[in-house]
Amino acid sequence: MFNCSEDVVAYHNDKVTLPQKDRDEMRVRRDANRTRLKNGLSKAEKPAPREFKSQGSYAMKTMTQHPEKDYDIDDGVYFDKEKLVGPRGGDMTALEARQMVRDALDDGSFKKAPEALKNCVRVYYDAGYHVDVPVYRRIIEKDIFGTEQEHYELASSDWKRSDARDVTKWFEDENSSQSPDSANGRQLRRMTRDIKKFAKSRSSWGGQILSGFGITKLVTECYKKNSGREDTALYDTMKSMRDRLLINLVVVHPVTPNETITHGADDPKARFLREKLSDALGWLAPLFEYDCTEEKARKCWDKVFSTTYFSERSKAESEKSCLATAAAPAILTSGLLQEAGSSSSVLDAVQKKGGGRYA
Amino acid sequence: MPSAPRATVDRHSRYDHALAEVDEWIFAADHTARRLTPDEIRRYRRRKFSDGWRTEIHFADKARTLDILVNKSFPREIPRIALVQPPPFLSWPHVERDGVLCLFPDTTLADLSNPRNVTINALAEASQLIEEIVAGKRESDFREEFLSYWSAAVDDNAPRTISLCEVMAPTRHIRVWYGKKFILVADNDDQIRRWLCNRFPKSREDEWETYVGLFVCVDNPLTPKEYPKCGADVLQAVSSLAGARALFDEMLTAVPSQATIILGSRTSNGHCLAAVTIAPARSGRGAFNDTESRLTKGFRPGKVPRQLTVNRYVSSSSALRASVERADASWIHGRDLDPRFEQVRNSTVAIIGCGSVGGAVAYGLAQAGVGKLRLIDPDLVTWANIGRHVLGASHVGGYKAEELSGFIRQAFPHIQEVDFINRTCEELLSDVPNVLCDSDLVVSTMANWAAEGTLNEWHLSTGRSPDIVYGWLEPYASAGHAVVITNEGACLQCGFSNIGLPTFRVTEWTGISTIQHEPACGVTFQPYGPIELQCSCNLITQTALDRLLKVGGSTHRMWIAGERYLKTTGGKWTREWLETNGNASKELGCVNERQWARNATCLACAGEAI
Repeated sequence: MFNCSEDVVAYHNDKVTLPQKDRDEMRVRRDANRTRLKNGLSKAEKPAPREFKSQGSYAMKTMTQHPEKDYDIDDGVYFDKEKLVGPRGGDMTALEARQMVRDALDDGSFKKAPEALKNCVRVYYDAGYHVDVPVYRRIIEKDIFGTEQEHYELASSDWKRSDARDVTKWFEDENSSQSPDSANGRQLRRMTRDIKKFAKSRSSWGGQILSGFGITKLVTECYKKNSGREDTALYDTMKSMRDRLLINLVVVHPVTPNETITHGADDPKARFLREKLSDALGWLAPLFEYDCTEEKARKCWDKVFSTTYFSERSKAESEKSCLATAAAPAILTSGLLQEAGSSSSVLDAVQKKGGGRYA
Repeated sequence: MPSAPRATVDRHSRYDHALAEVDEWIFAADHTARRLTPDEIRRYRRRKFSDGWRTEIHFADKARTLDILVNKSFPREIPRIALVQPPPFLSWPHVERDGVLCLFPDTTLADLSNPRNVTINALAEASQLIEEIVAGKRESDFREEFLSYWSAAVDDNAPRTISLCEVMAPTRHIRVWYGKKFILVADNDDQIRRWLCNRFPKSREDEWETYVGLFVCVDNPLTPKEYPKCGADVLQAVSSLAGARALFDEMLTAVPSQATIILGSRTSNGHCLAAVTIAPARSGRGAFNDTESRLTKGFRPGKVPRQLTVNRYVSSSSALRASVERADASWIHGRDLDPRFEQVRNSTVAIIGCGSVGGAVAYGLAQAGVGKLRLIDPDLVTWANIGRHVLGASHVGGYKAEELSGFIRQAFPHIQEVDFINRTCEELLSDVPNVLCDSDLVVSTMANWAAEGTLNEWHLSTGRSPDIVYGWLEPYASAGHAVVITNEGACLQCGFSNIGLPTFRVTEWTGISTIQHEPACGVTFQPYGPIELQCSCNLITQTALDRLLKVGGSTHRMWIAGERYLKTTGGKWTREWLETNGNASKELGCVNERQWARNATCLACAGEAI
């Protein structure tokens, strides 16, 4: 396969993964939302939350860049069960709990008021993004030995045993155990981001293709690691996912027993993903031809991601002082050095803070 | 895609490949770049560089020539970058005398597989530094990293200066001792005498004469331009600081042969001290008296106006800049950053039993910063002891308590007190019980039931103050115990049978004699070595420290050696330990904690609360 590994890494770093600035911005929004909720609950003399915990793609760090920066954050709020007392003295129902959180978040400043949806409370922001706040309650029970055990329930149509933190932990464990590297988020996470980016590469696919969570689960099942070639890892993983979906379109939930992410045996979104993966593998076929050129290979990757990044990168490399290639200019300036020094491959080559071992 | 098996790369091949990779990059990136000649590399004396390149980098203001320098550990070690024509030393921060730039801390790791990017990283870091220095953005580094720059500017013949002074304000007089090999400064004479006596036990009192010095609190650390070079510079510096001038003048009124000033300041990384010693130039005839007469010329003895004395003194004085080695307690115990030290520095701990356990506990507490120790033990140090005692051969024949006291005082000369009593516990309780009453904590490492039983009864009679930590080992040091007895909860006897056997043991030794005998009447010993001992001693020391820090209360902690060790020594776990623990202990050992429970039938306290 024609080697475009560096380009695939560069595309991931420049166009797929969230820049730290965006993550920081989202953290600010998330924290503002938490403050609003705490204040709202306090003002209404409702129980204070036990804790908050980010979840979903934000917590798993698998969010991908959005052209308008419309990112959707999931931020769970956790209460002690005994504090969620309903109006008649019994336990608050799941609906009542969601309504309580919705009312606390609605401080009158939103154009569109927060809504209590089936599995969360959704806060709509002007910019187009939203924050989903799933509501959980913590339950302590004693087992037959008298030992206390805790578990969590999500306020859904009813209280349903669930904890999204298990999902985050599951993904971190998979990422650590399967990836051959430890830098830049680790390879399995990068593959997840790349394939999610692929799934969002055409606006016409929106709504038709499998969810990010479903893609994440499939990547962990089908990931093909390759420590030396990022492009090969991506191709092989996409192929493995496509082949797996040929056999079975059902994607089970990674932590909740007897639950599936897909619906039924012939989920249309899973089928759509399978078709698009097949298309992508076809678009990459020229890379295996003996006379494939660099220009042709870059165009293939452009087609997969519906971008011009790969082709333009080749021009940019020769215009900038690309210190990694033989076409670099014959004069070194401090500006060129500092620009090269800011690339992730150069930054990752040196670690000032050491290896954490002392004697 | 099958990958070719990776061949083992030896160190020399890796080095050569790394050089080749950098060659390929740098010759393409800079048409003027070339390898350094051996002579050019040798220019960096004592640096042990093995190869390098010379390259020209164009900065915003002008082009500069830089050397990229590697040693035989490259690419495991990051290259150093040097300015071939550096500016005057100490005019730019982070530039050493030979032009090598200080860019990375010692902890820096470099990617072994990517020498090209490692080199680019170093050059990028260097170019950013130079640009920022040229733009005037790094002046504050001289202050933030004051000690590095000051140490580069010390005079070759400056005396070594050791400080015991508190580093905080105010500006004040201090005491100075001028030894043959170093100067010692402290806040008072007691500190100086105690330190010298502890550090050099054979020194004599008449060698401890001290003189007045000055500790000056400077708002900001000095930059190299501000470093004093002569007495007049020092006078100018102190004149600008509130309260310093008067003290400075007073110091010089007696016309000392030399005067030492400690400059203390604070950066975001902590306190820093610097020393300047000023001395008026001696006359051509060499006698100080001639100098003195120059300073007092024109006035009757004792009638020279102070201001004139000071002016004449400083105008003829040189100033020797010296680095200061902090040897004060706050620095030694945590480099000003251990909050526990402030809590224990004025504590008093009495340790009864200075054997292999007690010796280690006493040393550990002293090392943790406990300010006052009282050591009690009637025994002598023998050759057999030194195999597992902190004391060594030079102490054989002396009393354990006395030798340990001297050993600790010499190791930590700043410690406030380490008293010793070469007597038994019973004698202590009978004759000088206040040694224990006046302590903040007692640690008993006697492992002798008669003595500890008596101690326990004494403890009950005094209202159980202060707390006592009892420490002992099981056979073969297979387990160690630390029991804390406070004024609440059980007494020591509550956990022992009437005959003095602990009711809770971790190990048992059925059919095996755990006591070894020397060929002498009644002389027995336990055959454990120093390694088995360490974990138990640490546990007992930690428990003592926790009590001083008021962490936890009455408790029973245990160190349990691993299954592997127990099997080799022939022991077994007791049933009560297995029932408590559930499973056998881990292969390599563990720590456990349980309650030291009251016993309603206790012969000492009958299980009653105080």
